[in-house]
Amino acid sequence: MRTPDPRPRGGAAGPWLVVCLAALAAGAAFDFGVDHPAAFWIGMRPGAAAALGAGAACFAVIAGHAARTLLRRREHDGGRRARHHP
Amino acid sequence: MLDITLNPGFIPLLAALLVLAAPQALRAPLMALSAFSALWLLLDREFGVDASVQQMGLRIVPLELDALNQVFGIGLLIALVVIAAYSSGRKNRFEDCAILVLAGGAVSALFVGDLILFAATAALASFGAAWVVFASPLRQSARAGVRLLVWQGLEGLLFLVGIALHIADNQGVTTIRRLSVGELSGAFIFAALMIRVGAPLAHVWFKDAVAHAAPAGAAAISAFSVMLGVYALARFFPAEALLVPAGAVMVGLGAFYAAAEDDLRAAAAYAQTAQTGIGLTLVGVGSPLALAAVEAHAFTCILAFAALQMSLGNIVERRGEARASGLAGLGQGMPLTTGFLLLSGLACAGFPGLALYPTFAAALEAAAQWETRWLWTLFSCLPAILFVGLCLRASLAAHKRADPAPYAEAPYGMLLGVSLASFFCVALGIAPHWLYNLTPTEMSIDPFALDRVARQFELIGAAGVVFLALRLFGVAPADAPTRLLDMDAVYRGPVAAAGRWAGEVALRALGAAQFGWDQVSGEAGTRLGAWLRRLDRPYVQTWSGPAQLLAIAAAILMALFARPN
Repeated sequence: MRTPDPRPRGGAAGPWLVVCLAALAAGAAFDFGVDHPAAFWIGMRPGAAAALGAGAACFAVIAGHAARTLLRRREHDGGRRARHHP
Repeated sequence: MLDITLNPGFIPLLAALLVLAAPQALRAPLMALSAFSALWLLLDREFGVDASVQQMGLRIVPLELDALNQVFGIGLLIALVVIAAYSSGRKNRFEDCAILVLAGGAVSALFVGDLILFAATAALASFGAAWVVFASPLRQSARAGVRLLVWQGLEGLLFLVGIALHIADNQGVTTIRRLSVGELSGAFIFAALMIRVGAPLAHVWFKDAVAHAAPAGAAAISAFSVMLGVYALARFFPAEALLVPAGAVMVGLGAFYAAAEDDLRAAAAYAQTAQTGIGLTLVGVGSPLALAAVEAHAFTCILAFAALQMSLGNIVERRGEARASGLAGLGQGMPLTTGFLLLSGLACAGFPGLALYPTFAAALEAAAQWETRWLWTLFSCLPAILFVGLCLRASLAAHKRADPAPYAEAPYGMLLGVSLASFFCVALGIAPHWLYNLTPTEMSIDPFALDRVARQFELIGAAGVVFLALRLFGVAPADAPTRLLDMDAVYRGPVAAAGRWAGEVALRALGAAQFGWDQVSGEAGTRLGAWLRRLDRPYVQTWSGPAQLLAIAAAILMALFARPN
């Protein structure tokens, strides 16, 4: 079976990239520029939010792969179960 | 002011009866009117117990109003108004009635002041939720309704056992107060509420029901079912330590599936499970700020996730399903729905200026301590994951070209409902202070402080850039039609097979027992008949004749010799 190409071509990828870059740049600029109240740990330091966001995106990608590899429901099983059980 | 004690939730229940007989044009106005009447009744009363009655020696309190249930009540009733507008876009008398039963049961449960009425009204809400699923025209919805009934039945059973034990332990005291998991009665009620909120291992009922309900029904289940459990936990089990790990697992589990699930309605349900997990965790933390943040967060969750389910419901209405892998051409064919989908997705992800952001800021503030730093980190990551899972994936899929654009925009009534819900998302995001003021503990945080807003933009922006880069390089998975296994695979697979096997064994055992009984009773009947026939033939010489004579002679002899001297 031919798998679809996941790379975005046209559509909304470009505008989204611009929006996200702008949000990242503006957020980071203010994050580093503003005086912070006492950060209770490293996660609240300037720039930590960007690291958390990047980590969260990686988690989402890994979750997508892991779920499809490990948790994909086989269609013929689903059919059998659907026939026998509510 | 009315002199009678009328719980605000009873009004939607009464309206449910009217809706069954009302024509299509009157049903949505009736639903909205019932919500407005209940709101009026709610806001017109002073805090405290309104009245109570004695039933079978137990104190029944139909109405007890305070700041905690007022916040939840306002949120649920606003959601009912929005869903009423949405329901005008389609014809389904039974679903309208079921939605009112669900909403009426949930709102009634908020305002009752004793455990017995709470269990009864919560069970009514469960019945309404199951009916909503049964009323869905989608494929497999009847089976999903049966599964939901099983979960809700289990919850009701646990509730009843817990309440019975509570009454026995407390000399008939049924009034709602703080319970302890350490007591058996509290443990049963806690387990029931864990099912209600969709705690780990019991979380599948929620996504199963939402994914199989009709568009309006999914929004109703999303708004009226889980958040009642959050309210009950805040009422019965504040500062219960068990809630912290349970809520944290819900956040992780919900985030995982929200990022991976192809069915966007199920993904939205998982995202709501994750946000509910934040609520549970904060109830477990139990500080005044945490409890106030739970209430405000539940309020915004109700409206934001109802808006998201309605947007996805528009797609279901036209296409029959809302899968990320099947959204190509949505931007062309349904531009308004695409816009609302994006807005509500951003609201659910806590984008600054939209519904969940200010209450999410309060939740973060409540967890911002050294002891709970891992919770703070977990909470912080959630908006980024939901942004990727709900917004970016859907938006990228919706703007793929598909020629020709095959589907028209959703009906006007549905668009009206979504726009109303989106209005509340924006209004709550821009001006959250009135919501802050409704909570029992005054929240003095400023969600729009520059450092908070900057951090949130930075978080979401970084997540978006990294995800788009991973898509560009082909690392991120493509949207493909997949169905994922969850806990329901256990009870739909091995447990169901074990049940079938046990049923077959039981049937065979029953058959064998019946066959054996038939054999034994037949043989016994034959012998009895033969014996009776023999008795019926005194002329036939058998051993019994001499035996009878001998017995009579023996009796006479005994009587002669046994005479008293």
